[in-house]
Amino acid sequence: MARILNDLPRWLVIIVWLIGNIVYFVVTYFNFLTRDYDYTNLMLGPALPWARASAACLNLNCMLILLPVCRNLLSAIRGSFQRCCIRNIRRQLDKHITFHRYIAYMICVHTAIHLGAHIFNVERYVEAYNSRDEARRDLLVRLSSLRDNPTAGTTYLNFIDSPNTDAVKEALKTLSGVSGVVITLVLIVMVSSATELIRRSYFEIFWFTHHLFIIFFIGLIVHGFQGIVRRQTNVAEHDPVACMNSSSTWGTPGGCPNPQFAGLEPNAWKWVAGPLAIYFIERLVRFWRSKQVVVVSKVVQHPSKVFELQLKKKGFKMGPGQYIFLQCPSLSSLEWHPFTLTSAPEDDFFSVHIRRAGDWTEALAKACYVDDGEFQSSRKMPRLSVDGPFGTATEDIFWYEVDVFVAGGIGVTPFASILRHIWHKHKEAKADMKLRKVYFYWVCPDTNSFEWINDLLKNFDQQMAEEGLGEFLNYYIYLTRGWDKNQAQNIILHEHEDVDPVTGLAQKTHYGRPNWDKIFQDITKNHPSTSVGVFFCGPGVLSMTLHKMCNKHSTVGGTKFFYNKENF
Amino acid sequence: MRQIEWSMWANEQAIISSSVVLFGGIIGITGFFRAWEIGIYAVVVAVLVFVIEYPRGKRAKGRTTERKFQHPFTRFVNRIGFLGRNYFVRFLFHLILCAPLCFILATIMGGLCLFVTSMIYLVAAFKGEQWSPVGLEEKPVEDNKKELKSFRQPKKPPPRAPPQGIEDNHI
Repeated sequence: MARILNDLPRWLVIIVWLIGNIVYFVVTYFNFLTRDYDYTNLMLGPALPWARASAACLNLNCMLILLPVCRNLLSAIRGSFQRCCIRNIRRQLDKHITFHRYIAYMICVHTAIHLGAHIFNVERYVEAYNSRDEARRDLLVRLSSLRDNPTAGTTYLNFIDSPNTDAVKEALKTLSGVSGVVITLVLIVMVSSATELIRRSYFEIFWFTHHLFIIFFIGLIVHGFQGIVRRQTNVAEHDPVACMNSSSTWGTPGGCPNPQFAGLEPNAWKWVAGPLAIYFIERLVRFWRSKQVVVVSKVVQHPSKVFELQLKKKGFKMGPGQYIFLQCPSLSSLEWHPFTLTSAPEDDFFSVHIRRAGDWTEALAKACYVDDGEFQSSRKMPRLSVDGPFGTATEDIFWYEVDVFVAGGIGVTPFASILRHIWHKHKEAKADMKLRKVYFYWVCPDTNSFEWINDLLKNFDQQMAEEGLGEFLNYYIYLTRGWDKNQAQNIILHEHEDVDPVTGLAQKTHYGRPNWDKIFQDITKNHPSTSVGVFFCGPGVLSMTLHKMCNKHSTVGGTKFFYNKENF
Repeated sequence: MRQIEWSMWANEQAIISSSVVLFGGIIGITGFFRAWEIGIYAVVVAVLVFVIEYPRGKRAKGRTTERKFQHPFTRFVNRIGFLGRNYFVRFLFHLILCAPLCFILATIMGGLCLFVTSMIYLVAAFKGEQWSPVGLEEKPVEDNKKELKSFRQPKKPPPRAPPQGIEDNHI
């Protein structure tokens, strides 16, 4: 029950989409069993409706697939939903990449059906000149012999105009065949380079091959232009059921008139034109943003290979927990890297904390003279481009009465911004705020990562002590990777001091992993019948645990946990 | 920018190619069209490519996530020796295998996929990459040293006297 409660909207979206696909498939399937297609079906066998139904679903999904990757559009939608109460719809927008993937899987499935069905179709067209089916052989030969001939008043059904040819050769002579092969190949290459390993480790391959989508859409649009699959247009004069067995007398006085055929209207472009236009605008916005001037106002070096960039840009407005994409043209003009904003909306600059973990971040640190210690003048800084900010789940923090924030390792960055923002808000309007209590859990593998966010938490410690608001925020730090001998001694020595020996904070550090079951039980006990927002940023395994916990401990009428996750 | 290991992509492409070839092979056999025997060939090729490509090679830098149950396959490819390691060999292997697939419509897509695979392997080979097994390293004297080598979730209580004040210090 609780599981349904939490995931219901997500399943609804998926189910609506699945049902849409199935219904459209079935409807199209039966549309191709009508009398117009009697001769076509006779020639092609059962594969034609399969090919057409999967083509229809391909159109539908190719329309949808571009929408989830329009991050500026989604951000705008998210912003306009902010005022109304559909929290659950907004939560769905955070899963945009997941939906993009689901749609891609669906495209692959329908591509397979479409490809398989058309292999049958082309082979059957070739075979129509010499059918294995003895009873129909004469009829099929007669139908195949119909060519476009205005003087005799005939139109063709079989696009292959001579017997005993090769299916591969015939297929590759047509626009549909070539475009189909090309876009299937493009799709496969896009899929193979979008697997987890390639996407995470060799981003350039993923980026380049994914831009083959341009070829994909061009191919998709032109694929149907030739109108090779044909339907009969004169069923009224030439009833296939009545005339089927008298094919030798077609077109002669006393016999049935010749059947007339016409190609199907190409309609892929109608489906994808809209999303393509939207996506084009999206790219224009990104391009325009990349040309805006960004000033690096300060560079701060933090311990454990983290540095902070404080940036300024005209007209930049942000919310708590949002992220931006950074690009440095002098390093790479392709790569946009996402970073969480760590400044509060109330600050007059915006900042990102960057850990020097990869090649790009390392190069950026060098370009910003982080190691030189002193801040060089803004003019010497490399040109940076910023896209964003983009909204994520954490904008919803003020919708719940109680918030549980969980950060894993470097995933603490969005919470730096959020905690600062909450702090500002809390000071301004204590009474108005729905949010009454915040729990903050930080699970961290080693002590190195503590250091740079310490300042912030120390500030909290002080300010809360001054204003007597210790009740508002509880934070817990968990050190998961144990301790060495020196640390152990240190910890024992300083056991009875007020501050923690590792972090220097008033809250003592915990060792080992948090006991989530216990934590969630306690929260349920302390806050009966309230909506609790759980916000997480960090590694996937912990995310799954928390998601399960939220579902497990939610009860109808009692405390409800709403799970939200930051996307990377 | 991180060094791109082309062979990793080629490997992913090969696995997908193998499934496309298998799909084409099955279609070819069930259709029973002209030269349907190539369909049988395609199924054999698909299995062969899968066996050779399923074990992911070790990455030059960073951790390698193994595929599920790839261990026996790794051992097999490792045993082939030079032919299993060298990417020029793989390039030729896929190139030769893909040629007959292009003769019938059912398997042409799979053939082209394998062709792309072989081309990526060619790039990988020219970049000097080489397949090396992952997960086959000998684990010396496992029994007594194992405990010390790995970080486990701490079983000991935290190094801190359990005073009354600290209630929620769970391990």
